[in-house]
Amino acid sequence: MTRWLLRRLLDTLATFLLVAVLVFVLMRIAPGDPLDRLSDDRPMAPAEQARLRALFGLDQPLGTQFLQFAGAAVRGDFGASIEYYPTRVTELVASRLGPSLLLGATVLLINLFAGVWLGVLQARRRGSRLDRWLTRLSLAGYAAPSFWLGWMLVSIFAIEWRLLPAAQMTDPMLPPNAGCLAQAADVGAHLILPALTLTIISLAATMRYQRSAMLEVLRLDFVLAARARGLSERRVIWRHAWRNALFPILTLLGLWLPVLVTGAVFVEQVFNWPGLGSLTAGAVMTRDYPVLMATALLVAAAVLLSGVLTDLAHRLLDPRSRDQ
Amino acid sequence: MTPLLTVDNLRVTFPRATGPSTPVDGVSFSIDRGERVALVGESGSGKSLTCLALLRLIPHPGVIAAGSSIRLDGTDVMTLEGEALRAIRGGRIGLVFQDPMTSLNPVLTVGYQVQEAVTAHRSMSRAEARDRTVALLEEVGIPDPADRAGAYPHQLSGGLRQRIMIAIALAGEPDLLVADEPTTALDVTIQAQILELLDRIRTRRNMAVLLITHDLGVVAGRTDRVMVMYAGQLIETAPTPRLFAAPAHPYTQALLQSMPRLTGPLNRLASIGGSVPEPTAWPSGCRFHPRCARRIGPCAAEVPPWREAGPAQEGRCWLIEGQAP
Repeated sequence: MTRWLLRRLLDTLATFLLVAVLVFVLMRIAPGDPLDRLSDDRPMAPAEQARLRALFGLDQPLGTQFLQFAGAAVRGDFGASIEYYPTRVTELVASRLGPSLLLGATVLLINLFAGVWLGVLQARRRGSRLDRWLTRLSLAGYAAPSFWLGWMLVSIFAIEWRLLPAAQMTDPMLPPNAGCLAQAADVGAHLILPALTLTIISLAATMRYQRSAMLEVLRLDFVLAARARGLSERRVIWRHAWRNALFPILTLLGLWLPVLVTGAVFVEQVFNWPGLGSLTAGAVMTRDYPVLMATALLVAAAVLLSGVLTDLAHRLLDPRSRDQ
Repeated sequence: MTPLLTVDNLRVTFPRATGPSTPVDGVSFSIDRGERVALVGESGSGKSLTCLALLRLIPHPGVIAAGSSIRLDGTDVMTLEGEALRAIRGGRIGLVFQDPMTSLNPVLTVGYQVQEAVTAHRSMSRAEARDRTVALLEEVGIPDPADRAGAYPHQLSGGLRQRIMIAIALAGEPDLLVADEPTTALDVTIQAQILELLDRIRTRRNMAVLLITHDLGVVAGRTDRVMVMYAGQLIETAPTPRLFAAPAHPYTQALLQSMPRLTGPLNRLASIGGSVPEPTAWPSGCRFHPRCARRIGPCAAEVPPWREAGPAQEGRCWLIEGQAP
């Protein structure tokens, strides 16, 4: 097990380095660079351009640039943002990570509980009216474009009914000396609409996966055998059937874990949510190389690590794979 | 003395696009306390569904038809729900399944699965339940029971897995043990061990046993009475020695002739032509008539009544000349 984990982590590290090189090179051979954008508003003198290039190290050969970047990055220094100069990239990313984690974790937890529960319910009532309606509703949500759905929810709940805030994560009018509880309530209110949008879009996948995994398991002999020994229905469903039907869900959650850190670009844009998604989207527009590099590597790390975590969870939860 | 279990006119139906299918169609029998009964029939004759019906465990979308009656010790099993029904499952009737590999949950330890069967029927402390589990594992002949309790099903051999299934079936101290082809999925060398184990446990606990099998060889010397099932119905019932000595129904006779023998001249093994009909379209009259070598005038048209063929032996065939029982 430990050997397996070590080898898996080494593999992951190698992949990560490969991704780092690829992203770095691709970004620089793509047309346009940060200085184009800076000279959008006013023409820049050649001397000034040269000075800025030297400041950000853009005048060096590609290889040197990468080595300089990598050397600093392993020490946790990703340089300064070009767009928000002289703010450090790490500072910028750290300030956006919290909101992304909050939104992502909320949606993930809702999926984990509501999605799994509804999927199991559907499997138990397979073919019933409830099953058919849950399928229709969840697929309708899945099919809705996120920016459109976000706007619909904003115009209904925020603009028409004035029940919830339309954008941002906090109310700028909230006095800074407001109590902890009031601040939490404020963030919570701002969280509802973006979280709802993302949930509506993602819940269908969890439900469908869980439903079919559960249907698959419910017709197996050991479920019948569990009933035959007089166990309660709850125990049969959750301890015996679901325990075997959670593996596909584990895989699905593994695919979603990265969204926790990467943020949901469209939804963050619609709700002006100060997360990593909107930071990355902005950095792409302005070719803010240092910020792009940091977010791209963060995404790569998140994707690779959740792959390792998913495999690890599979191994821990399935005794058959443990013995292999 | 009233029988332990009385089944009357048991019918199991499945809705089908082409009309309902009735894989179990009017089965009636009873089992006394401590009696060892065999239910014999080919695959598709409805014997497995019959034993699942005893626990009201017919898989969706099948149902036990109205008019069927299952009485256990005077209790009407058909009207039970929830807690009371679960008390029967495992508590009064223990069920041993055919394939222990698929009948054990692969992600739970075998000890856990035995223990939950123990605590499903009586409340006790965890330590008590644990002791009881180890005692059960010991009773079914598992070496190092305390140790093996922590094993997962895939870590045990087929024979040990079936012993675990038997321990689970015994956990609720049932009055009736139903074993549905308990040795079919096992190696031949293990089969005899498992059957001997079942015999020993039955003698020690003095419970009734309903052994379901397609193998008449398993039945001899191990059961008091044999019921032969064909196409969803019982067609003959007799004390075991009597059935082997003088089978009354042509189907039973054909079954016995198709058993390979170790002694005597080596002949070509007899087989019964054709196969069991589909439960959506049972043949008219006697259901065995299309395959019967001895069919006569009324066989295709009229359902034969039960007739007495010998002491405690009854058969459902126009050729049997005895009285109605």
